Amino acid sequence: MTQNRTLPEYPILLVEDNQDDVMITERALTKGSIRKKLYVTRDGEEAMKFMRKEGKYKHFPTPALIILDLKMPKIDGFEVLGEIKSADNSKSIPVIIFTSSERDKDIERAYELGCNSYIVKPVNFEDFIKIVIEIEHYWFIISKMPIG
Amino acid sequence: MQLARHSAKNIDESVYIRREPKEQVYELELLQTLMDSIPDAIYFKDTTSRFIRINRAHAKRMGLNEPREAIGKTDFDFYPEKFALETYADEQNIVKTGKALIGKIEKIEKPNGQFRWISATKVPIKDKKGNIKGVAGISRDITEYKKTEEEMRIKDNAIESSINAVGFANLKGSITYVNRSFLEMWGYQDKKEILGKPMPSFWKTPENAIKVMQALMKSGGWIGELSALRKDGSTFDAQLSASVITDDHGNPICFMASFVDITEGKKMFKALKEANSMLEWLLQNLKDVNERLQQSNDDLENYTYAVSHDLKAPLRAIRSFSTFLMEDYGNRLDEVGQDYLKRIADASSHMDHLIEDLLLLSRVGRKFMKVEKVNLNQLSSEIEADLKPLIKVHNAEVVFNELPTIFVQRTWMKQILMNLIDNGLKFNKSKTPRVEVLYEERKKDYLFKVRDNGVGIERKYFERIFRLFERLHTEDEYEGTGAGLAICKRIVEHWGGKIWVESTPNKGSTFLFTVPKKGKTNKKKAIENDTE
Repeated sequence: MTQNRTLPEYPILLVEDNQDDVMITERALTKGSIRKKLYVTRDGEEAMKFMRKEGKYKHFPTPALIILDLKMPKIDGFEVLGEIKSADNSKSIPVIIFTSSERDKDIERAYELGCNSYIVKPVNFEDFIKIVIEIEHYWFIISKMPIG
Repeated sequence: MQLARHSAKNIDESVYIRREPKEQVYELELLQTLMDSIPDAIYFKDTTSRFIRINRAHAKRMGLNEPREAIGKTDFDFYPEKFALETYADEQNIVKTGKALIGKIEKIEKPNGQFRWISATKVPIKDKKGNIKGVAGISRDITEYKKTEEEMRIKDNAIESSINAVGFANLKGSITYVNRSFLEMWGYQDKKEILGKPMPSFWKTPENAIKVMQALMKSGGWIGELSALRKDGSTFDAQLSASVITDDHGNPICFMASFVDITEGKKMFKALKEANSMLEWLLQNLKDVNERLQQSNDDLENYTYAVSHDLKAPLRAIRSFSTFLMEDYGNRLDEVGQDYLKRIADASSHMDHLIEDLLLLSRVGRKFMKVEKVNLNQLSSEIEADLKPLIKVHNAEVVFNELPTIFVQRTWMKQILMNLIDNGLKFNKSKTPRVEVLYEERKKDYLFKVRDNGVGIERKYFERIFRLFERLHTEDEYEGTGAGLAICKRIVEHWGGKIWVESTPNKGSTFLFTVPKKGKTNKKKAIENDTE
């Protein structure tokens, strides 16, 4: 991890119910070169609270990128995606669907709801790292985004 | 008076009404008035059948203007001879015997063929002493009545000989008439056995018949079915049309009904209905079975798909964490420990392949893939390139003969050929492994053959090798998941083709599969896609 004080620290929100996948994603993200801080919520409901800065999330930052799993207890990823993309203060935040589902229906629905990217989780950790690095590279370096 | 003046000389003076005192004249006038006001023909004749006096109606019938014009004349002057002879004979008989003739029906035929019917009554005229002095007669034209009677007779005959059974009953329900068909239908010989009997007793359930009668009285008509009771106690289904017959004022007079035996028709209808419902049942069953099959197929594919995906998450954890372990703690493990970790990695990698194969298999039925025009010679170059490392490793030779251009899902065709060639190279102990691909164009399909000089397969395994995850060798001997041929079979069967193997152990195998020219690789569709 390179620490560069002149660059901003990007807050990333990971919405993932599987602890294993949380750990794997966290580890993969440490391999990247960009300064970021990872926030994790374990279900859709918590994610919504995080986005609305409710309760304990009052002083948390607005994420620069959201990595969202689809299959989750309580409120699922589709619902979270829909909420984020319909709220004025969050609709410009890129949301990456990161899921095991390769179903055409899921992919279609996710894009209809306004996801920015749909990525199927690889089984292999090496592939996992590659993808995570690609994600940060693309969204934090290549893409220009409005800064809110 | 006047009459006397015009009378003929030879008229029998004794019956002639002579000049009498005033009151007698008055009586005569009364008589004439009475006679003239009656529409029937009235006449008096002497013993020789000459007219003495007739009324106006009679004059009119004979074509005369005045009654007196008839006096002294006979029927011969006015009627056809045949008729006149008959009346003359009758009248002479009355004169002779003194016996009256009452209500004789006579037919007067005119030369033009027209005729009239007459009801004639003739009585002798006697003087105070009882001597017969002539004949008095009254005759009524009953032609119209006869016509009506004839019409009625025809109607009666029609009803009597009708194929439908017909019956009449009075308002109390007693039978007043039945026709021959009714007798036959109900199995009776004589109408006497039926007439006067209560109508409800001819039905299996008299209460129902009574209800029909009640309904009839209300609505005036009733059409429906009733179960009839024959004389011998057997029953039959009758269709009946009943109505109430009324007089000119609408007052009910009696019931009338006609009956048709519909037992046979009903039987046939029932048989037809049964056959029909049987057919429907069979069809429905077939449909159900089909649906269930389709459903279970879909279920299986969805299930496979879901399970495969669910298996991936823990697999990802196993693989990732063994990687983390190796990265973070590898240097603290001895060789055995590291070997264990490697085995975990290999096993999870194998599992990953298994899951991928399962997913691929489920995708064949689940995922729609477009049929396209595929030049198999081009495809084989592609396969050759893909397999190059493998060919090199085995020091092998893959020979593609001239192949056709067909309409097929490119990915699937490639998958099949890759799998079969890969198998031919893998299960091969020859120093110069060789796989050859050739084809035959047949009437309805293409037959492809992938021939190798490999280890071969025993006949008893010919079927088993196409089953999912079926392996004939240990994984140490040959790598692979055992899903390859199952995937090939799934694809070929999806096309409506067949796949099988011919083989001799230690000499080699030939895998054969067909691709139908028509079927799921529909030509038209393919051309459309091709031009897109």
